[in-house]
Amino acid sequence: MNPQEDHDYMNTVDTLLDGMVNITPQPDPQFRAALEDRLVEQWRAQSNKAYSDRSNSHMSTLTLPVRRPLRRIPVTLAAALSAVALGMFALFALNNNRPPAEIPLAAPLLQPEATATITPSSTPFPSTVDGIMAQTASAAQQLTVTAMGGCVLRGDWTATHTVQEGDTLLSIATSYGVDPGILLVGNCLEGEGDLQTGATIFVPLAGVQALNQQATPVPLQNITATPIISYTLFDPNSLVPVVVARMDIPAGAQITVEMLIVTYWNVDDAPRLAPGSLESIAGLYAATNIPRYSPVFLNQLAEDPTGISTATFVPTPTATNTWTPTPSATPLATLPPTNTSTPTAAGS
Amino acid sequence: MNQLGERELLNRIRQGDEDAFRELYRRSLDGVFRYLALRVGGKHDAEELTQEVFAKAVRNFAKFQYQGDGSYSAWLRGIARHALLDFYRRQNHRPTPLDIDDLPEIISDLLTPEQMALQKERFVRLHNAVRALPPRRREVVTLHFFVGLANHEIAAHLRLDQRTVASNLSRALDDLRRRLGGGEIEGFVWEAAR
Repeated sequence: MNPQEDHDYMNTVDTLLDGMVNITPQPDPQFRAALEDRLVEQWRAQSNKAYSDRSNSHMSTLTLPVRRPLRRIPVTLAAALSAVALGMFALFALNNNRPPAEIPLAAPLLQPEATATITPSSTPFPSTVDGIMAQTASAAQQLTVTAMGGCVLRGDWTATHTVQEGDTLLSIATSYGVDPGILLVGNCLEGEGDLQTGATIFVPLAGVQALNQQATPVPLQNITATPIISYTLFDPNSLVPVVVARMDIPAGAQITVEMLIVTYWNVDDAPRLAPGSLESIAGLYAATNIPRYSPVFLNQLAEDPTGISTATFVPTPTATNTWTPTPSATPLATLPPTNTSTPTAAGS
Repeated sequence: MNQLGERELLNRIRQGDEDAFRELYRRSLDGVFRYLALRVGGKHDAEELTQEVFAKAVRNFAKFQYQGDGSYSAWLRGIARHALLDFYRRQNHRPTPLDIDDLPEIISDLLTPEQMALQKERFVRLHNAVRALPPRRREVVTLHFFVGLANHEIAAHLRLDQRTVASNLSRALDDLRRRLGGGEIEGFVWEAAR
């Protein structure tokens, strides 16, 4: 088949799809009406929603039906953890002969605490799902989990974070090495809009410990695309996984899973052409320097290390944490700032 | 209400006018549904995606900026395209044949019932021929025709060489031709476009 023929053929199929003037698929009247009512409801809830009155609004969101099974592992894991925690809570309540009515349903959400710090325990980081489950089970003995209209506030997560000015959901999640979805679920939050400066949110210990074994968390500095604006807790369909570098990855380095973290982005805000699964990236080589907290893009990857120019890479002075991006850095920016790149600096 | 321009409608919606909201939805629904239904084939998938697109639009409504009439539907189309891309990403691992009974209701003033039945059958055959392709070829063909990505975009999306994309596309088209019989698609297109 010659190229011209190909081209004509494609045009005809395009015509088929866009120019089918005689074929107009119509939505069913029932579907039309049902969707209209549902959207009006969603729109009203959204317009009425004042962030100062969050408890009501997220209660209403939680009653929306789940249309599909939760497919993505981290969210599923969160659900499993919540289920285990609920079960443990029920057992705990029974053992103490406390009637279920005493479950503090109306507990205030996210009360600011004066001392909000990470308190890692000495328990080793569980590397398997079973391990995480076991840790959850042991944590359940001193459970402070609060059930809120179907959502379980994870008071058993002993690490906490006080929301600072400028924090985003993604920045917090990335700096603790946990999944943003899990943070939302565990704190009964509906979306990023619910993060209030000064509020304390719970962080799962497992992620914190994993991160402590690698590097000290630092505030997020280099998310250049718009991170998650808002998404609804129980609609994982609107989320797209995006792999983000957890550390600076120099050009030529073979990428391992430990260098990466999967984050979830609103589908409209997610960078296109950024892979969503660790498996598709691990084992490949960085074709350019990939800055910490930047999404990993396909054109930054190479299948074999030959031909990658590493000559221009200037290591950051103290390995991690001190690298500051230039304000204009884009996800495709590949070099650290030039202040360390002079020959004298490199030689000293 | 149904005389209002897009801009006035949007203004009223921002002020909380429910009738304006309903009107805008009614105006946009058919276009979005048609766009999706032609590309995913099945009615249920089309409904689910339509729902997803509108829910997303409502969620992100504050971010939409009016840039002249038609910009709202263009914006919706963008969301629908994203949804479609995501749908194919999920779907590609386990494509199921399209059943003629799962087609949405099709309205036509110009065709006789017999012609309609024929069109439906051909539509289903085209979709099923695409779905029956080997995975890589199916993916490339779908991204090209149904999502409308250019070859270099497909290459980046699938992490392939551009030449690989082109050769996959070309082989897939050969396959389709063989499967559908020579001239079948072309005939269909011209008949439909007339």
